[in-house]
Amino acid sequence: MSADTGFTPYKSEDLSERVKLSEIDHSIRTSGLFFLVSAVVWLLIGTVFAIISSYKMHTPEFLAQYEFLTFGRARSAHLNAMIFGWANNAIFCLGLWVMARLCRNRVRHGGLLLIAGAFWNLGVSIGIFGILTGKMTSVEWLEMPTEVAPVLAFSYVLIGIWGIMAFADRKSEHVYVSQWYILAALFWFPWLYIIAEVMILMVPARGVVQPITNWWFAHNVLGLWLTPVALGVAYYLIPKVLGKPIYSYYLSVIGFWTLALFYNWAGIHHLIGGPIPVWLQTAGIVASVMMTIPVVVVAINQHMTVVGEHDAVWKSPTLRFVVFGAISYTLVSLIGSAMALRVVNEVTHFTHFTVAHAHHGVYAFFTMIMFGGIYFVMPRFMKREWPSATLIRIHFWACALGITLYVVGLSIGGIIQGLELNKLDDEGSIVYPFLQVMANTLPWLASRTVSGILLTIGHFAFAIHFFWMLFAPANKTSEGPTLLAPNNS
Amino acid sequence: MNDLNQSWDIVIIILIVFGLLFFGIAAYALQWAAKNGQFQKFEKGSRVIFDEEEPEGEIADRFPSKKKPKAKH
Repeated sequence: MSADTGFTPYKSEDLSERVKLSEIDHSIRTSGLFFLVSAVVWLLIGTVFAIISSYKMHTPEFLAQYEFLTFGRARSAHLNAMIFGWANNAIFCLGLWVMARLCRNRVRHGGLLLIAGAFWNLGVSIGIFGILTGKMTSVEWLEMPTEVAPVLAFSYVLIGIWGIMAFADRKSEHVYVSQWYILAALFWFPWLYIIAEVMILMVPARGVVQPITNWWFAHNVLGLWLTPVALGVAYYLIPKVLGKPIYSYYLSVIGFWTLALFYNWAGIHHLIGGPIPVWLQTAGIVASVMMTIPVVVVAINQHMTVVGEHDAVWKSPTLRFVVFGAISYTLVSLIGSAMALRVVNEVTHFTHFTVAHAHHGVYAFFTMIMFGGIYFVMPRFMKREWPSATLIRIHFWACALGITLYVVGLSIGGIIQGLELNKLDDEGSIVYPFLQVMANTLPWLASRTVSGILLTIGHFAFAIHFFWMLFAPANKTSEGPTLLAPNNS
Repeated sequence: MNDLNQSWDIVIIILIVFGLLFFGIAAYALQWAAKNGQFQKFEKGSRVIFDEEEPEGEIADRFPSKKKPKAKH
């Protein structure tokens, strides 16, 4: 195709030199595109449910006549579509692509990956349909009916084994830090998912072991699945696009092993003050605070690599998103460590602050890095450029402003809510009646809907651009210039 | 009730075995990495992401511009 259009995403003008890298990209192209298309479709579906849920929070009568769109179902459909639909498909593409590139070997048995991907998306579709028809479980982050768990586990295992095989087949000597992150995540996710399904739903544990397992699982999906893959992608793309190695590679390796050591314990901080053993809560708090080590390590590395290169970051669609995500990682993690402290947790627990924090992590950090990765990988899959700089700008600004408004608005609202809930007068009785506290959150909930509209605009701009890129006739691109071509432009 | 207790016992034993196995894999990975020299020559390690096609010192991504490309590929 590149011979027809005259466009190549690679530097070398010598075809034979270009072949190796291009072959690796090409070998994962079909399954990679399948995962990306699925991811974008789930992103749109998740966005629609998000906007409905958000609007219902301040205007409960909205769409109240439809049973399948009641808040509980719409909100759970949103969460599951985003995590298991959007996030996992994006990871399957970008994680495996980074892995294949760093292993310097072509991907084999791409067809297997495609079958696994088809089953995965079938499982998620049935799961979301189950949630909407009222067959959901009452376990947060595992709302999909238990019947789909084997389908998801099976298709995941195929994908995971495939990733591990790619690693075993590597032609490179050194294991780059991104490979560590992604390889570990490929082991961690099935462990988390299977344990949680078994211990909570299939052969339920008794009593408080259930919520302990639940929050160990839910927090670690973020911490040991989304986070390591996003960091792996960032550790690959930031130095790659800038053309200079990471500031301190030594620190990045320490960052990986400390994350592996501490993050697993942190989820218990969701149950601070709950009826579970206090030593367990304290262990969770200690682990959450220890997480400052890997976080500060990433922050130093990211900052010191990017410093002095702001122009290049701004001119690269990939890095705009990835650096936004990396900065958000530092912020959200430090806030998270602080939230685990008992004095802070007393205020923020059971308020909208937690919701803001969750989106700060999964969206401002993880999703923005995935967007950046997609901007880098698509031209290499399609051997053509993104058709429109304007759409990329709309996407970036709508999402960056939208998520900032989201996090700031709901955080402020959440703190006010927490302080009002806890406020006692001199005689020790409650100052604000519960309904009053709820009414006071309304403006902040409305601000979330405004931010949701911005995010929706961003996502649709992205989706339009993505499918335009995918289906654009090949000859159009001959006019398009240099998204990637570094040739003296 | 007894049935549930019994099946729970079996499940917890299986999970503990797998948990230990899991931990063993992680410990082995760390030991392998140390022995294999993965924690040496960091300078070199940090450069494995570059190759002839996307070399060090070249910016690899830009916004699409309106101008026609000067160089012919």
